[in-house]
Amino acid sequence: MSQFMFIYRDSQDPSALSPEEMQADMETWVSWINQAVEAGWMTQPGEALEPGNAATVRKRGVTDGPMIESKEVVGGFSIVEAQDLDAATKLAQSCPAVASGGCVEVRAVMVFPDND
Amino acid sequence: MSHALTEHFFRHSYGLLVATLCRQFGTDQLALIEDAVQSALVQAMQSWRKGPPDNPTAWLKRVARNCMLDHLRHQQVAYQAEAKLQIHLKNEASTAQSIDDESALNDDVLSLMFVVCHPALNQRAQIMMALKHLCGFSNEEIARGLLMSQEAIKKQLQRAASQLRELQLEFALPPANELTERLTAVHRILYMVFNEGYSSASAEQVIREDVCAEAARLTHLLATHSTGNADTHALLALMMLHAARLPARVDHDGNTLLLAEQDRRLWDHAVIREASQWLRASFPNTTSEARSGRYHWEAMIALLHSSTPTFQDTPWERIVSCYDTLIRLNDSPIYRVNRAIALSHIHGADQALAELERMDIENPYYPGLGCARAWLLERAGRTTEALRACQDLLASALAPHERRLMERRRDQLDK
Repeated sequence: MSQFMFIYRDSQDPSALSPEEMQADMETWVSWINQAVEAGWMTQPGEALEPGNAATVRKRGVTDGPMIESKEVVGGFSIVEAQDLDAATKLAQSCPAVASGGCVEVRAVMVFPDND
Repeated sequence: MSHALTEHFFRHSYGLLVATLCRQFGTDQLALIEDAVQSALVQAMQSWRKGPPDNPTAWLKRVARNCMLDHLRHQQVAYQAEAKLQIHLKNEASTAQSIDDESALNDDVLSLMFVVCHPALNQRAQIMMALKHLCGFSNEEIARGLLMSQEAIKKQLQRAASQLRELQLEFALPPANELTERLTAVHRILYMVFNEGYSSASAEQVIREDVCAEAARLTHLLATHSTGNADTHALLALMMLHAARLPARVDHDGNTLLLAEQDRRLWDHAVIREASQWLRASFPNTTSEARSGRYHWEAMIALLHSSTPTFQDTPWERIVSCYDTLIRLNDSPIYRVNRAIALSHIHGADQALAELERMDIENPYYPGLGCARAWLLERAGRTTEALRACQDLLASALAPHERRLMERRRDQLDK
C-alpha cells in the first residue's frame, strides 16, 4: 500500500452560498470523510485551511492571500492509503469537491527505502 | 448526523448570530455584522468537514465575534469597540454560562425581532429585514420569494440598515409602555412573512414552505416568551392551522386545489390538535386590551374547516358569524368576499352574488373578488356570465398559480 495526499480545491465562492446550502455542503463532507475513515482508506482526515488567512512567498516578495493564479482555493487536505495512483484517483472521484465543481489533487507521498 | 445540528442549523444560527452581535456591538453596525456572520458560517462549513465541534453554537459565536473585531480593526475603530466588548464580556461573565443560556439567546432574537419591525421602517423593508436577519434567507432567496431583483433587495436592505443606524436604537426588548404597540407591529410582520410563504405569487414551493416554517418558528418563540400575549397565541394557532393543510393544497402537477377538492386525510391532524390548544389558550383573555381579535377569529374559521371531516359537513353558519365579527373589527373586502362565499353554501349562490353586487369595494383590482364572482356565477348556473368573468380575470394581471386555477375553471366552463 502507498500513501497519497488529497488536496481539496474548492472552486465556488462559499460566501455566495445561502445558509441552507452551506449546511448541505458541510453535511456532504462530514459523511464523505466519516465513510472514508470508517472504510479504512483515509488514514488522516487532515485539517481545513482558513480561507482568508494566507500569504504567498516568492523571491520578489510576499503577497497577501493564497495563490490566486488558480481559480480554485485549497480548502483542506487528507492522507489516504491506496494500492497505486489509479486506485487513489478512483477514491478521490467521490469527493464532494468534485461534485461541486472543484477538484482534488492526488499526490503520491514519497517514501525513501529504509536503510536498516 | 450524530451531532446536534438539526436540518436548518445554519439558517437558524444566522438569526441568532446577528442578534447576539447586535447586542454586543449595536444595531448601527448591522452591515458589518452581516459580513461577520457570513464569514463565520463559511468558516464553519469548511472547518467542520470532519465533523462539527461539541458546542457548534458557541464555536460560531466566538468566530463571529472575532470576525467582527477583525472588521472593526480594519475600520480603525477597534479601540472603542474593544472597550465596549470588554465591558460586555465582564457582564457576560457575571451572568454565568450565558453562551449556552437558551433564554438569553431567545431574548436576543426577540430583541432583533422588535428592531427589524421598528415603525420607522416601511413595511416592505420590515419584511425583507425579517427574512434576511431573523430567518437567514440569502438575498437570492428573498429575491425569488418576493419577485424582486437581487439588486433591489440589496438597496432596500442597505437603506433600512442606515435608517436603523440613524435611530440609534437600544438593543433590548421595548419598554412596557410601548410593548403592546410594538408587539402589534411584530405580529403583523410575522403574519406577512408567513403569507409571503403561504400564498406568494410564484416562488418555488420549497422556499415557500421554508418561509412559512420560519415565520411559525419565530412566532412560537414569541408565544412561549413572557413578551407574547393572547394575540401571539392566536397568530401561532392560525399559522399552524394553515401549515397543517399545506400538503393537500396542491395536486401532483402543482395546481392549487380548492377547499372542496382537497384530500383531508393529507392534513396534519397532530398539528391541528396542537393549534386548537393554542387557540383555546388565547381566548380566556377576552377583556385584555392587547387583543385585536383579528387572529383569533381568522384562526377560529381555520379551525372550523380543519376539524370538519368532509366539505359537506362544514358549519357554514358559524363561519359566517366569525366573518361578521371580523368585519365588525376591521372591515375589509377580503372578509366580505369570503363571507359571501360562506353565505352561498347556506342560502345559495344567487343571494351571495346579490351580496357581492351590493358591496362597495374600494379596490376593484383585488383578484379574490373576481374569482369569487366567477365561481358563484358558475354555481348559480349562469354559465355564460361565469365564462365571461373567467376571461376578464385571465386578461388581467394574475399570479401564475391563480392563472392556472382560472384557466382550469374556464376550460371546464367552455366544454
